[in-house]
Amino acid sequence: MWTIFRKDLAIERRTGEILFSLLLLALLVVLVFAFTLELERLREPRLLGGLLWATLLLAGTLALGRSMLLEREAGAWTALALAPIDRGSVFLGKAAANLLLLLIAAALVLPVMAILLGTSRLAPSPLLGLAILLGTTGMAAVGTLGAALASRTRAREVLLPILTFPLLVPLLIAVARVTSAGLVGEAPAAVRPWLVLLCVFDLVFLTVGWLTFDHVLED
Amino acid sequence: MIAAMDFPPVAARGLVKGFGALRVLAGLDLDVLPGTCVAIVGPNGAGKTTLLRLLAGIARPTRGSVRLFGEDCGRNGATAPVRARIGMVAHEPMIYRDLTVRENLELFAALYPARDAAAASRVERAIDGFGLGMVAERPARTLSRGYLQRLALGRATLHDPELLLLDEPLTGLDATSRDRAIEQLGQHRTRGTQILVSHDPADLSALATSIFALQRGKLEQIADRRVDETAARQMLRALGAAT
Repeated sequence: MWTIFRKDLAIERRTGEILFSLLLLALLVVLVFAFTLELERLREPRLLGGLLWATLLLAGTLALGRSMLLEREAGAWTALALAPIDRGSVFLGKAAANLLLLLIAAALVLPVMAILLGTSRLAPSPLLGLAILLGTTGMAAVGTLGAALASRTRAREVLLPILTFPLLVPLLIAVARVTSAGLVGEAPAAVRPWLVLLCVFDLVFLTVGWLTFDHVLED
Repeated sequence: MIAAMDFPPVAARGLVKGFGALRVLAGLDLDVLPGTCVAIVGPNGAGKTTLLRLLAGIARPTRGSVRLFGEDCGRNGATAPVRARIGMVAHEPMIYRDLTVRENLELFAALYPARDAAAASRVERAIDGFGLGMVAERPARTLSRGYLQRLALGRATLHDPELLLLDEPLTGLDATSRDRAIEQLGQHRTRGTQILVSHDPADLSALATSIFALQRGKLEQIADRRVDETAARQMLRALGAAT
């Protein structure tokens, strides 16, 4: 798992393609929100959570698709399928690398978003960090599995959001609530059911990815 | 190593592979003995690459069985211990273009268990063996077709596999690199087994110890010993598989 994780990060460190495109797309989405919606309403701290995750969903989907293209580009995918390793660990390694990129993106996008939208009255609590960690974990798990499945087809760019967006709906609902609560300093107890949902979601999709990647890697 | 093998490296029975309505392999049988290089020839689209992927245990047959080193790999694919004994050179180099030559080899070395004390130096052996020293620190993206092919050969033989599957392994190599690769593959054959797919009579003459024609989804042996380049060319022409 860590070999795959280190490999993905080494490639990203060299090219910067995924993180750069993720951040640029996120910035564009924020600007679209700022120009098309009522700015007065967007300044409401509780809305920031939803906007952050909508932004990460759109930008992250494209970035995760790119991370799987690296495997397809020169047939490295076949070499991984042939290697005598637990194929589930390939999934976990790639999901961990994607998680790290999404975490960096979230950490950079959120303050930029708050500044651009002029959001005030923020009181971030540790709950915000937990929300971002759980949300990006679920997004990385579903996105990595979806990108791997989509990469087998010619219509991969279209198929990836079709596969992942419906699966991510429960995660987005829950994580937007928890993030909003974290932004205004609410206690975790106030959003406990949503936190439980996020933990279960992450666990389910990490397990599904780990167990099914054996078949995903084969023809 | 060969003497230690209890089972033939490859035994395929009644192998059928279809893609939708298209049946590529139609009940194919193949036995490959240790220390041989079995060449498979045939026209484009005959199913040679598909057969190699089935024999690598990374694709599953529609019907029939593939036994690799005695283990049934048809239904569930090859297990990790069996995959550790296989190396493959395919049409694509199967590497990461954004990593350097050395990083690629180190990555794939890390994915295979070391079998002996010399395993630590296998990256250096691959670099020396296939003449990659000059480009070892260059990203694979910047390599010429010939160097990429050398890297593919280095990657595939890095873990000293007992079964080496070779799909056009000498394509793009200059004369010196080609001689070097033939020598390396010849050395490998003293310790292991090879299955070769090629349209090149020179490759067949240099590497193959027997030749099978793949036609209409089945294999037929057309040479049971080494053949010279002229004879190999005639065989390929007769099959409509000459380049």
